[in-house]
Amino acid sequence: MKILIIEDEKALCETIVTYLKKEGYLVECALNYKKADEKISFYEYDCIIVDLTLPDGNGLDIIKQLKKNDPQTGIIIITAKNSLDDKVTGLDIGADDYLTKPFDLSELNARIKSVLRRRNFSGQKEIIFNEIKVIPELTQVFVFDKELSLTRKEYDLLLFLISNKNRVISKDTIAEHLWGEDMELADSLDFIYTHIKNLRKKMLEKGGIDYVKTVYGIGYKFSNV
Amino acid sequence: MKLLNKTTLYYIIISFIIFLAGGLVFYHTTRKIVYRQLDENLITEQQIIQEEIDHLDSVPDFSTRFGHQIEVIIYNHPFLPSIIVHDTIIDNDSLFTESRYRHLLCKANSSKGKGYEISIYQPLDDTNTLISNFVFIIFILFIALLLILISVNYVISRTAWIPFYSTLRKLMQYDLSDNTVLNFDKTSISEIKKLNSVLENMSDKIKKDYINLKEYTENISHEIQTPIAIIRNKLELLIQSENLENNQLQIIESVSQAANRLSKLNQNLMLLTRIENLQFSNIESIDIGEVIDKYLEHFDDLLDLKKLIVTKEFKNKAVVQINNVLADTLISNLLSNAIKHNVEEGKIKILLNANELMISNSGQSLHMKPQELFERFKKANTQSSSLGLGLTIVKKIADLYHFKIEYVYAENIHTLKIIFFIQE
Repeated sequence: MKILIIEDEKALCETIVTYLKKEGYLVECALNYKKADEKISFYEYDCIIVDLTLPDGNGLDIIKQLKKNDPQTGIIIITAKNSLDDKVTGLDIGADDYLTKPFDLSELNARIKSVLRRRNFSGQKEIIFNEIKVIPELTQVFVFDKELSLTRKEYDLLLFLISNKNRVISKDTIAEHLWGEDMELADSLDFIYTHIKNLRKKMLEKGGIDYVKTVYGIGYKFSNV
Repeated sequence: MKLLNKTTLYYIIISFIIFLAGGLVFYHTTRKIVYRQLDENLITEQQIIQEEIDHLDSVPDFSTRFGHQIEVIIYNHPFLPSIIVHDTIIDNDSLFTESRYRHLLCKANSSKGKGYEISIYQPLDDTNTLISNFVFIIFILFIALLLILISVNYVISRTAWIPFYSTLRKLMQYDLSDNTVLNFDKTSISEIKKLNSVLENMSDKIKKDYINLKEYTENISHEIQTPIAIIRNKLELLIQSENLENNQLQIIESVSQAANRLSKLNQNLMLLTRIENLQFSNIESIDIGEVIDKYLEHFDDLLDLKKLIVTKEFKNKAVVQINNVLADTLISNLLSNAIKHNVEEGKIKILLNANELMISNSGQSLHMKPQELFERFKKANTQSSSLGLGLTIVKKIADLYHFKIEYVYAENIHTLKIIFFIQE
């Protein structure tokens, strides 16, 4: 998988690159419009992550260009400009998703996976982790081919954890993923604990293994035992 | 009190005092003059009578002369000559009334050495009536004058103050956050001209400062986003490290929470600024009931986990002209507030009419003034990790669309009411 990040802030770009490389992607960075324009005309990418406000141009132009040349490429917009107009325009001209700065890397990772899945690059419509099988199109989860009945939030949580497998995800990140930015619930962290507990229980009931590890003080990690 | 009424009142009070003093002086002066005249007449009469007595050496009949009562009594002994004029009251026995008289008492001696007394009584009732009539006429004149003065003053002031009131009206309508310039009407009155120019300069200065401040906050919150993003993302990378000890993880988590808090704070402040800057100009017809249902579903797990009982009553469909993002923000803030400040196994009641939305929730009693609830960074519980901006945002949105917002607390039930003012 080849991913291009177009972001003028070098530190941010590098962080994203480091994080995504661990996922096994081939990640490149373009720090300005000119560089980005060059790269997209020479190479093909599976997904590009583009900041709308670049010092020497508008990220929207890159999206237009890309839609003309490589319509298969998945596009995720990131921007500091928390403005609705850009979001609508971006999605109108064919971006797949939209993230506002500051965002969590695990959130970005989950979004990339979802975009790639929807664009069907990996050639599979299901996510498989050992005995767990998730079919996002039908929002169904199977453990040893037995269907799990999950609430919508439990399903979201499981998908988020699997998308970020082998990584530590903080409780704040999970809270924001589940309830969005509007949410500022003081006790939401307890709610996450309850959701995790229920999820574990349901998977264990179907004979699955508890892959959710509690990372002391921080959050959770979904990984092989 | 209006300026005009105030000046008029002063006019009346001062005129009244002056009139009272002037009236008293006038009354006494008139009385003095009239009395002097009376006394002079009495003395002249007395001289004539005295001359006649001296001349005739007998008492002529005076009853038909001079038109008033004259008494002459002759004694056999001489007097020390004297003249006294004074007021006296005589009872009229037949009519049981009293009459005031000016009484001249003259004691003199005739050429033959006999003393006699002359008493002349000038009735005063007529004179007094005359004086009171006179004073009454003056009083009427004064009242008329006063009325005319006040009404003339009122009319003149009204016209003279027109530019002032226009300036005042403009100032009252002026809103800093509007993009309007303060323009006063032209006037020929130099004081008002000066006032207007001072106000114009002042408002220009305030406006410039306001814009600078706004730009500063906007720039700060915009520029701060990228560093916060970097901090948060670097921390995320850091927690992925294999060989971290528990206490190190704890520190990272604290830093990460602080960074998250900072970024949420920043986002909310930016949202407030954007509402103020009217950046949500796109208005649609939004069914508030649908938005409520959407967020109830969104928060359903939170409601379950806190074992909250939601009763929902949509009496009429409430369709409001509002920006869809702000409608979402409004409802999600209100609902998350009702969840956040609720107690375990508490209640939430949602009542929706065509014109108003009422959300009440059980909860702890409020330890602050209800009007402070909508201020920035006011929190019921200072320990809580909430930012204290939720209701401020609700208020901002309500203000933007001229919704009325009310808060009531009674017996551990908090109720927020939003009135949309939709024309039927």
